[in-house]
Amino acid sequence: MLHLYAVVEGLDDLPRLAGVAGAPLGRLAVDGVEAIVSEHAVAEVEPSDAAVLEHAGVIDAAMAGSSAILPARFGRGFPDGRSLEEALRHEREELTRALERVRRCVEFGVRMLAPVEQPPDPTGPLNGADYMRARLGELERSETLAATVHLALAERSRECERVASPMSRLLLSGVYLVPVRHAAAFQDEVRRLERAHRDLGFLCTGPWPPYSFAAIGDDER
Amino acid sequence: MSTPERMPLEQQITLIELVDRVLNKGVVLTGDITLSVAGVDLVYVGLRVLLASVSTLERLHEPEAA
Repeated sequence: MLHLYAVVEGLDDLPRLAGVAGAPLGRLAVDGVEAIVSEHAVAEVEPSDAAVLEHAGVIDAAMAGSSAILPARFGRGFPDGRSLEEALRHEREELTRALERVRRCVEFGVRMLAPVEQPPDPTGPLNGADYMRARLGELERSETLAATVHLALAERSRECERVASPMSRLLLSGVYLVPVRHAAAFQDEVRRLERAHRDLGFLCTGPWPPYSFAAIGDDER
Repeated sequence: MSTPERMPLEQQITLIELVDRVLNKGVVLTGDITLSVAGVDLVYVGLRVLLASVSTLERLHEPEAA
């Protein structure tokens, strides 16, 4: 089977490293769209710790040597070259559009967290209605703040997405697609926001290859 | 992933985000079936680790604020 790492544009040379489980890398081009793959004798490659890191390592290296890259989600693979060629041909237009969208861009992940504990109200116990009003006001202020921070980062991004949070402490979770030449300015802006809101925890990861902006078809946001 | 608690916080966060991206994000072509391990659980577990780590992070940031 063939394991897929990425769809690329303008790749000069294959990365000089082995793929998952030490398999040599190969390339497969169809009508100007090119895939980076490795061939395996097994029916499917297990997503072990090592395999996940190797998959990501190939994507990092391929990004450095190409003008645009769509990192592939770790999948079960294609039975043979023909089935992958068919997929590339079938989705060529969408892949080309997606490559255009992420060209020379990196991705950052930003999370903003509320303080660990809300300090108890020093004015004493409130009745139920007062408590509800106070709590609602707090939630509104948090949301306004999260929206403001998200907007400031969105203005420095080509595309962005605010991810729904399953936890109330996580006020903001977002991914931002940023042109490489503006990456340093984006990180400066995160640091500025962090200094402006010292009571909140900021977590910024990246620059990443544009994993969160690589989806096509039904997955497209 | 194995023994993330022994790694420095920044590395833990980066690792969680990496695994999330590799298994949950990225392009999927027709014919490449995605893995059943991907999904909400992984992200949620990752976020829980992340939130548990925040008190450590806040301590790291204290000297700056002082």
